[in-house]
Amino acid sequence: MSHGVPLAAVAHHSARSVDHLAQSMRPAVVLSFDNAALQAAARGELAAARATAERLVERSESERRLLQRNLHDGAQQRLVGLAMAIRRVRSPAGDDAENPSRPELTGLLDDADALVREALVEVRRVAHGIHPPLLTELGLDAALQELADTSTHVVVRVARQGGPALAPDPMSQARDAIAYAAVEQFLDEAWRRGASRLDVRIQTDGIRGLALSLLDDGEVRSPHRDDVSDRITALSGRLSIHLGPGALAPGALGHVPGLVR
Amino acid sequence: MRIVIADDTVIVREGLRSLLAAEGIQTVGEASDPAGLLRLVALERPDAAIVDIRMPPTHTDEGIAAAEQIRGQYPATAVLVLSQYVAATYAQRLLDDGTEGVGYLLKDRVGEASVLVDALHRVVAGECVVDPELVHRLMSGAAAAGPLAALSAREREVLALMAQGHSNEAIASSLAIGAKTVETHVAHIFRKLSIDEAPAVNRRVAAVVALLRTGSRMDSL
Repeated sequence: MSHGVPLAAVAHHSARSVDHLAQSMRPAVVLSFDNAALQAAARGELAAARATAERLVERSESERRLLQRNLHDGAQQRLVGLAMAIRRVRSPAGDDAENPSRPELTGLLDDADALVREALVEVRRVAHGIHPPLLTELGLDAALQELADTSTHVVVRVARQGGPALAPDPMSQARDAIAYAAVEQFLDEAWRRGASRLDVRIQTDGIRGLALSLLDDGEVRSPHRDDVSDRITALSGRLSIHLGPGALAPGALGHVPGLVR
Repeated sequence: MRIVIADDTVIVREGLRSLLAAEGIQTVGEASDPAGLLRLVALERPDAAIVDIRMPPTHTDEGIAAAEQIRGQYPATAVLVLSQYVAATYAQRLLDDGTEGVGYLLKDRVGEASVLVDALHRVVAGECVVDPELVHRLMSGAAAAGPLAALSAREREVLALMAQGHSNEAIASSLAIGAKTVETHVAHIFRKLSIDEAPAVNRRVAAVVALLRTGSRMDSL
């Protein structure tokens, strides 16, 4: 009995003494209970570790979102303000148009203007790398569509297999961010493998599950495990990779990171 | 020209006001959120409103919704939406409602007074303005291998300018060709891209942007 719950019943011949039976069974029973207790503890620790990993990934994704927003609403706005200020000073309509040092000043201001413009592009690029803003604003389907719109080397086509397009969903932001990162990274990889086309298929699976199917016509080469696959695993997702003939061309690589929760 | 500015950053509002003042454009009011913007437009009935896409409360696409409201209620006010990053989804939403007197520009353009002033004049004249960077990206993306493959180099140039909202006259002068030649190119483009009826001058921008996007969209399976 353990906390009043029967754990096992032992049937025996009454001829044998109960004491003797208990003596002979004790080591085996103790061992199996110890085993069960250890297994339960290990399972509990595993579940706790998984939950911690999930929380860590979710927290890191939410910090990325915040960082991205701070860059757009803080640094970028100030740079825009600075660009306008430089333009105003640079304007030939200024009071000191007759000033002999004007040409030199104009040259310096042109340099400053070019630098601030580069900084604006850079901030936008970095912010996007931290967290694509359109993912929060438009949801996964539309954000992937924008990624397809802007892909220049590889023609990307996005399709949904059943179910409505995914709207922005606060509950699934970490999942969507990782799915987006997986596609972005695979696109880059496909380009390196000489692909000219990439087909992305999005399939919703259950309430929060998601399966992505990525097919390209590049050279077949095994993809490496990396940060993205670690993030998928941490969210109890699955990453499965199929190498072999695909739908696009003979020898195409099929790559299916399933983010099934 | 009288305009109002809606942006939740003081630096940007002040910068815009003084930059435009130097170009002879008068800012008659400033707002930091959509509600304030609509009150200003109702009160001042400006020629145009410059609207940042990100405003409180969610800092996402408030500017697009505000633009739709202004155009619905005060059609005499043109709207120029500024966006931190150009997204075809936003441009399409803005143009789906009609393309007269509306513009979508990358926010970085505010540093280039001439681009901004030109865009303001065009939207106030009832034209449509789409940021060249967005058009460039759409034309070099999936559409380049799809629908655009049938076009000649010259036809692509004409299409890019058309998608940015330029009139036939403006296209003729920027490519240094005759107006008749532009018309011929436009007719060829629409035929090659199977756009059934040549849409009205302003609607064609929305048609072109929608078409460019279809290159990357597969039908639902």
